[in-house]
Amino acid sequence: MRRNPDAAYKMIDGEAMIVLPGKGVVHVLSPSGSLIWDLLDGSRNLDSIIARVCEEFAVDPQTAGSDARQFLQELEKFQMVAEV
Amino acid sequence: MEGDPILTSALQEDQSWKIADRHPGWNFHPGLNESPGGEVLRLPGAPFPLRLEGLTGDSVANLKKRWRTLKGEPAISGGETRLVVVNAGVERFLVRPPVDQRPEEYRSGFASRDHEHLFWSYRFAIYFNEKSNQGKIAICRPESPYLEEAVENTLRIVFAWKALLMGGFLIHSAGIRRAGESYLFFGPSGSGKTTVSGLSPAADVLHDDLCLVVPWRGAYRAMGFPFLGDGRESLPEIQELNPVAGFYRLVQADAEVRAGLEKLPSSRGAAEIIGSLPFVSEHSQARLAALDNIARTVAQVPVFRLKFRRDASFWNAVEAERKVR
Repeated sequence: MRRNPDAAYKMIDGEAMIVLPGKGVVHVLSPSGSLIWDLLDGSRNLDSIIARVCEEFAVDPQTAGSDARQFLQELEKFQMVAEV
Repeated sequence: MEGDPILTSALQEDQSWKIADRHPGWNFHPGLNESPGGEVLRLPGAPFPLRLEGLTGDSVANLKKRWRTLKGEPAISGGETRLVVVNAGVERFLVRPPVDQRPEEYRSGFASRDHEHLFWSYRFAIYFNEKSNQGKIAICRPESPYLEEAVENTLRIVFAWKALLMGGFLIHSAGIRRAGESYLFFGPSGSGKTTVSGLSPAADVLHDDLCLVVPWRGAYRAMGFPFLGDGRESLPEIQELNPVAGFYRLVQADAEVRAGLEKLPSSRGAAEIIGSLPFVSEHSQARLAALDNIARTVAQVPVFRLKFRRDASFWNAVEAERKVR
């Protein structure tokens, strides 16, 4: 999975601010969500992303994995990510 | 079949009316050389030096009337932007949505390559080269008031581009001058921008709907956008750039709630601001430039959420915060 290539985003103080084309909505992600978003460049699999989240946020892999999958579903719902 | 959900859905998704859209390509404007008239108008008091060519005598008179309060030199010195009005030779570029597709969104198109930009809407199409600082406004209807409206719409787009190139942006906001600084109150339609303007001395209102923010001489500064908005009859009279004291996202409060300020984290403040930028969400290059510019702006200028009743008491909260900063 990777970021929607049409999404413009900027990291500000560790939080991602994202604007999608044709939508008057701006999304601001939490610090952990922002890390996942930043890593969604299409070159990493979900396991490696979860491992990075565990490193950065001192969370166990099971919780990180569950949260990351739920977060990705949210991103999909808003068309912020696409399958590679 | 009446009430058939599948058929209803298909009708709602019918976009066939767009088939008559005409998207001007990069070869469209170079072939246009006939102007409605031979008059030239230099715009006084605008943020940027500007020269309009190809106007009719009537359109010059009408534009001077619309811009009658603009005086003096441009606030931002630099090379003069030259825009030539030319006849498009086509009836329209974009088709208005049919009545059953309302509420209508303002339809427009945008394309960029290197330093060149195209923008088009229903009955005008702009070509602008930011390197040469020149462009053409192709208009479908050369008579009044369509010509003047096309010119003002063009200037909104061109000034927005120029602001982005300078590291700034246009923002839908009420701008109020107070003690030599600009206070920018923003929020969606109905949030109170016009009310804030109405509660402030008319002589200090930069604009009630659209302001320009640019880094200039060591600070982020703002001025009112110098043209009439929809349905407005008077222009802002202040044509100067003042340092921005803060951005204030208007949130209407109940009558019994006191006006109060909450400083937003930079990312939230930036997100609130970008939601109030004209043109930006539709066009990818502008989005990216705006995100960069706003990120730099909020690193220097605070953004607040302002709980606000429809009276002037909000100034107490705003000024109290400004004094202790």
